[in-house]
Amino acid sequence: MNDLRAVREFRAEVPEAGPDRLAAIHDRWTASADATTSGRSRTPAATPRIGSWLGRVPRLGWGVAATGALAAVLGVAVVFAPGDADPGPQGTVAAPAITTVSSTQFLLKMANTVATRPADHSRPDQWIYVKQLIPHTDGAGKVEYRPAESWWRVDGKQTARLGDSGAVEIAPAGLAGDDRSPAQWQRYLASLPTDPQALLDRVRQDAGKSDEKAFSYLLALLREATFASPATNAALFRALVLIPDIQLADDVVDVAGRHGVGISRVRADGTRQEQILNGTSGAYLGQRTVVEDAARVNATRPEPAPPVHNGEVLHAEACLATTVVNKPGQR
Amino acid sequence: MFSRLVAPTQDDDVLLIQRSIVDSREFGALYARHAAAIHRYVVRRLGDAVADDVVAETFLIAFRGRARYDSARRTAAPWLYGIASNVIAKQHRAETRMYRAYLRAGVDTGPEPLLDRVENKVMAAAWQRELAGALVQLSAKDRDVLLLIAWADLSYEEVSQALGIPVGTVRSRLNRARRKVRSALGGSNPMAVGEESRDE
Repeated sequence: MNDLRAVREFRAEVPEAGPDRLAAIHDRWTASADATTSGRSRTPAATPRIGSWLGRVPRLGWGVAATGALAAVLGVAVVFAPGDADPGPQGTVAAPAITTVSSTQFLLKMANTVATRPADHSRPDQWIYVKQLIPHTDGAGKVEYRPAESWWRVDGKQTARLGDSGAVEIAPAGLAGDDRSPAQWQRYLASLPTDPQALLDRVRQDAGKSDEKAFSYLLALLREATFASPATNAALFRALVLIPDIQLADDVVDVAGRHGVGISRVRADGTRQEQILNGTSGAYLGQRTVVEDAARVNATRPEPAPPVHNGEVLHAEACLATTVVNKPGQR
Repeated sequence: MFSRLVAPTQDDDVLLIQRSIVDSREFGALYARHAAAIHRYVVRRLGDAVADDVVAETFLIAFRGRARYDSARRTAAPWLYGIASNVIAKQHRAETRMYRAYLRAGVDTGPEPLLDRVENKVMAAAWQRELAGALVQLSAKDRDVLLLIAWADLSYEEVSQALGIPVGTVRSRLNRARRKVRSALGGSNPMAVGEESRDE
């Protein structure tokens, strides 16, 4: 056999990083370069990554659909959410209804709500059970949302999933890289300041300076926030208030058919990033990426990808359950 | 914005680097041209978690050293891979940990977020475990040469430029590395190697 060919195929499935992630790296080394030229010396900051056990990371952005290799690995694709109307004759659908009701009011109300909610607790040997609806495509590009059930040992030593056969498959190596375990996430959440401005400053330091990055990062933290203290949980909502241009959609339906409130912001690439929350409890229901400005999106789209239309849902997913259990297979 | 950076011009790398000495923003075009490939190489070698740090440091070092770039070299890829190799060397624990992950359980640790990864986790084939076992045992110098050729698609001459070693040394290190890989893949349990599926 050809040894060199075997080496070439080894880890060949590693996809290229998306533009968001490369842009974030660019920001980091140029920040260090600038600091040096202005007389200060700084090494690139070790930015905590958002790679959590719940929810897709915001750094994928619409790149989930853009990078073919990654989309193939993930089994996701450009999708129309079932809740959305079919494209009309002009191939467009109505953009999500955005109310002008202040997002600030809603966010502050949610902050007060979660401020009285006790945090979930877990032991290192327990497991976090997560059930999500995630998109799958068949060969013809038809999208179907299927449940995906997984278990994460809190200390990160093992992970498990519900296999196609219905059996629980345990991967003994767990988080074999440097990825964060649920416990590490909880420690990170606990380390965050509870003053909204200090929290936002910290988020900008860890995720990038722009409002877009800070918004994405805060949304990701909110997806894990059941393990945050009430004070931290409330601060996450209050820090969001400090970010400009956040919009509120007061009735959004997620891919599981549940009604909620959408908190969204338009990204520089022309997509709207939206997180859907339970309007009463503030709990995370789902998220989606919707085309806001098709011209801008299409301008940066890789060639083989078909053009998108305003209002098109590029990605959507829903979180159906997340619970602390004692062993994989329990729900 | 990055969208500005991802539209590379047709200029040679050397022109970009020379212009960047006057206007440092020109270096952004060089980044746009090479960052994705360098980043992927780093993720393949070290796993996802430390890759962003390593790539940022690589380009920072390159940026600071841009005035010393050898203008006889039209493409900067070997130069950048050479710098990346030095930065990767400082992360050998991450690299070892990644290969050992294959050895322990044969679980791929791709860079997807955890949830997606668990969905796609597959038990690594025996050949992947054996290959990981061989890679982890190579000397760092031999591994650099082997992977710059197999993963970064550099030529012998380019590897020689990247690592600052003679072409003859590139050949001898590559031969030694390949010998070890061959013996690992054809090792104790030929049935598990999956030769049937991997041979032409």
